Amino acid sequence: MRRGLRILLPAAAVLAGLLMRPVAGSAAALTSDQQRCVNDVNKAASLVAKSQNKADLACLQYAARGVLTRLGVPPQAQTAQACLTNDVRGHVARQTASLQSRDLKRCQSLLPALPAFGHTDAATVDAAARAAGLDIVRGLFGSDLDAAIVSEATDSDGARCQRDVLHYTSDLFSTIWKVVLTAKKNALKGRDRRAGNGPVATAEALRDELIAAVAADGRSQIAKAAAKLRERTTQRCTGMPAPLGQVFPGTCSGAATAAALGACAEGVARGSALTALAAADALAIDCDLTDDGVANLTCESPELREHVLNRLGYGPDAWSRARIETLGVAQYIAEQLAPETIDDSALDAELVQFPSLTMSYQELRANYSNDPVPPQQGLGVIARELKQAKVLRAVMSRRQLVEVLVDFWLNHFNVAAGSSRRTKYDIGPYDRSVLRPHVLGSFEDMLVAVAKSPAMGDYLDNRRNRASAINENYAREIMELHTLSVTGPYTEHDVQELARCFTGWKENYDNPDGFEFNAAKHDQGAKTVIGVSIPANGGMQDGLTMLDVLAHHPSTAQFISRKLVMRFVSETPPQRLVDEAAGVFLGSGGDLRAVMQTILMSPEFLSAPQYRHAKVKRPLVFYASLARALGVSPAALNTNNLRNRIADMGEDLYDAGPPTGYPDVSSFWLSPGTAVKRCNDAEASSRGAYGFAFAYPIVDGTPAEIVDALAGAFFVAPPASATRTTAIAFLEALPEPNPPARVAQAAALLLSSPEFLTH
Amino acid sequence: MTCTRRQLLQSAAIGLTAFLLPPSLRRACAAGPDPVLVTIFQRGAADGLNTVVPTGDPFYYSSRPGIQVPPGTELPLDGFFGLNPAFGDLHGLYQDGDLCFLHAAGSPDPSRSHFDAQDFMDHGAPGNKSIVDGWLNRYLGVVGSNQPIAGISLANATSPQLAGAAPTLAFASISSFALTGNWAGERRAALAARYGTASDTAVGTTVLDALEVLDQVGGVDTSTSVVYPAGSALGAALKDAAALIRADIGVRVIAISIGGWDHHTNLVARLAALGAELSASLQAFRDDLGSDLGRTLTLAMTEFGRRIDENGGDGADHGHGGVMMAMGGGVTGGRVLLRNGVWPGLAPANRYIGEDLQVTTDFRDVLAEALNRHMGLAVASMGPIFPGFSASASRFPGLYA
Repeated sequence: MRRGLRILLPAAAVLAGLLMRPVAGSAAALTSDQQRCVNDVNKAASLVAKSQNKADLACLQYAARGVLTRLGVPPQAQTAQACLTNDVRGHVARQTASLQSRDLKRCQSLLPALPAFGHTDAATVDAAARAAGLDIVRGLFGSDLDAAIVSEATDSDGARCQRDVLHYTSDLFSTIWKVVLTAKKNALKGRDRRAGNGPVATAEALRDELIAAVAADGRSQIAKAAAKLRERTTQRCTGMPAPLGQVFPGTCSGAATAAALGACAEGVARGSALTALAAADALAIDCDLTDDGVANLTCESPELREHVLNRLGYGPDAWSRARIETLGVAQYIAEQLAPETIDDSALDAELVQFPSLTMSYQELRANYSNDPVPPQQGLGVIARELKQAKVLRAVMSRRQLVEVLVDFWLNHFNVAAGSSRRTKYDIGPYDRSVLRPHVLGSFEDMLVAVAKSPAMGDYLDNRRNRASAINENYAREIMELHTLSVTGPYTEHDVQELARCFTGWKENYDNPDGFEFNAAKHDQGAKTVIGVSIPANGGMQDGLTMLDVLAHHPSTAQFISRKLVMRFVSETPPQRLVDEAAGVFLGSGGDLRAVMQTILMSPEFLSAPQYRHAKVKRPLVFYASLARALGVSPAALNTNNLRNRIADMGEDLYDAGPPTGYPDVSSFWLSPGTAVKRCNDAEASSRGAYGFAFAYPIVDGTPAEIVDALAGAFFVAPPASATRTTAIAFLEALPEPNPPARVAQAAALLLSSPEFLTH
Repeated sequence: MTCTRRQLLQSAAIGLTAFLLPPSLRRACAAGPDPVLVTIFQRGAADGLNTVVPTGDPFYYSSRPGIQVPPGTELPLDGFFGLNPAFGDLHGLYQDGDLCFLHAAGSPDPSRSHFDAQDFMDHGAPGNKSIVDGWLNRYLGVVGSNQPIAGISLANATSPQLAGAAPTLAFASISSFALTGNWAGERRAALAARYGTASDTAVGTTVLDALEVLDQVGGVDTSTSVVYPAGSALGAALKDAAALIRADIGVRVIAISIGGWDHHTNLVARLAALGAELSASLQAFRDDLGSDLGRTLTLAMTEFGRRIDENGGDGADHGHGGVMMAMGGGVTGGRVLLRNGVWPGLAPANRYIGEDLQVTTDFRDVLAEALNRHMGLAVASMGPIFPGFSASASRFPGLYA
């Protein structure tokens, strides 16, 4: 469905982003013989497509004139629709024969060293080329050409309009193919590559090059052909008696004006070109591009929806699947960016089991002291409840993006709950009041709240930092980890000067924010930090001034944007998107909602298949997604057991030791040891461990029925065929006679698949 | 000439080690049980000055009035240095000749960022951010290892020292590294079939590596009469390391980390707790290795030392030079090694950038000597392991006297 959304970026921007992806290491470029095979077959394919287009135009013209004898040679049906595949003059067949002989000569002669990518086989390429012409006709006129055709006798203007639109749409298609063929030649050879990295070595790299070449349109050939199409459409199709929707009852039936029709026809040509390319060369091109050639969310593949649910949250569950189905991707993202509009009362009702979550600094101290008289709960309960709540929130919250962001920012501004007696108390308010309110708010507000927080003050020792005895731990990490990054423009001297700015900042649990500024401990001298002069006697303003400067520094914008892009898009972050997000960060004064909107609506996030399932799930994501995929009942969930499993896998929640928090790279999270643990826990979950109470969507059936039913429940997009076939083969050979146990074993295997370990 | 494992072990037992044998015998001995290198990374910048205390340098006491190891409480080492009694278990190893310290050692890079400095040390390439694989992994590459079992990270995650192209294993413990649940054998075969079609991805190779060695690792006997410190993750890892070495299944290098050394506050108490854990764990490991001690060299390192002057908070901020340790592997223990035997000194004029202990022993010289003298790798082959650094026997710090 076309939703008329405009999230489109300039073509050059799309191009730059798609090119940043590294090429896989083991693949090799094609030899010159292999390149000739690909190039020659492609050239022949473009001639097949061209002759099909010509034949289509002839069908339209003869049908409009009522010359039925030219539509087919009996016993062929003499209708316009049949004419499209009748190939009355045999031109298409001749080009097909030529394609086949080229393939035989240039490609089959290379056996077994056929090109590893960029080439399929003559039949596939031929079918793709022929289908392209039919695609265009169907796009413009729908699936019944006879019904759509305007007779020349009754409406000559309408007939001419139809003819010209088809003609120039076909021309635009041919032009795009021409650009693609040139780009392909160059990409295979490594000539004129914008990335400058030599010949492409994988299908994905080739695909990215071709999409980029079409978007860039370096010699404006496509732009010229598109302009011609729009111009002719406006000229020929304005002021006709019949409504445009009747003249073009296909994809463009909604076009109310000739100008809109021209734009729509352009989309038909662009979409057909990329569809044909994807089919001919077996390149995975997202349907959002193959429908109209533009990354604009006009098509939402199941793969895209799964990607959105995987990255904006802890994987699909019943509610989020239904929600994204109802709203579509763009509106789902918009809603997640406005969490206050999402009812989360079911979660809130469950969270009351953890009373420490809502207590103030003083209430926590009054209620959890390990004091035997009167009997008190242990101090350790606070962090435990918080950890359990985090698991529950990840599984249950409908505000999934907020939960992912709280996790992101907790790692960014890491405090380890277990690092001291104070942090054991203060970690709860740190999550609730310091980070959570700001994750879609102002970065500076969050930075200041962190600086004042007793949790950070203790964890990085600033509470001990005073004029008479400097402790530079926190000052260093503000610049290195919280704002500028280690590559930022600061020196060791800046660290020491910034430490002086924060002397006297310490906790006072009587205040609601747990903070006070102790002027007596403050170094009142003048300071200079990263070139900013702080006058003497500034008191608390010294630190606030520097937080303001650091929060709005270009290095901070880059660093934060880069980390967010790494979390949400790719661990090899596309620089175009990082730059755009950093620009929004600076331009909006650090508005994190605007930054997230930019990242989540970017072509890199929405339309780049290579980023999907490219991250290994962190342990919390893995366990929460297990619970969500299985549809567990939250009430029975053993969150205490789960948080221990997550810790055992290396992600002790709220307890990352070093101030970097946990690394956001897949290589940290998947090792032979944790892979085995994941497979074990997938199996345990499938049998109801950890308080997983759920019902499978199938109780018995053939192996294929069981596997398909489970895959349909666990994944939005169908898993790879290897996952399906190995699961079916496993089940066929499994000596387990008990049907429910068989279903559980099939589930265990699917939940141990590459598709489930990644997101 | 031949060399039996027994000969080698005997020579180790009487204090001789393979390197002391004639070169021809040493080469023959290479066919025996593999030498093993174990690295322990003390993450967080361990304070060297309060570990191996320069009691003979008056500036130590004047710089640390509040956090010093009180004079007279240290355990004597060589007259100039004394051992923090919290590390008391190391004293016996030192006296037995199984352990030596290297002082004023570390990375020459000036970074005081934990994370950069750890990367630089893990990658064996100070100051070079374009090197992202680990020096131990490159070592495995240089010796042509293609068996995952050769390199083991005893942790959930692969040690950054072992990250890279050569296949390695990482698991938190031997006991957790097993496929469990119902129909484990059938599931394992099905996983092998599925991931066999994904062997061109990192996820695929990781799972396939795991499935390949499950039986081998699962068959390792972890029982021992030696008692490791209770509740210590380091002790548990070293216990598994000893079992893996004893099993002689092709393990060449083992990487272990122990965190928590970043003592900006309450340094005395916090260092005491960690020091006791480290020392007791190393002592148990030494005892547990028994006759395998001679073929097992253990190196401890940290990203940088701490500031000479104490800070506000009874701790010390980030510094530069620190302490490394070497145990077993036939090192000549019972010594505190200094470059050219010279202590750079803590007097203000002698400090690195006026604040820190100098680094006079480059950690790469220590690693190079270990690879050469213990692992038998030619110095000329070390180029890829330490990029931009020219290893030279003339700069070996002298682990082997």
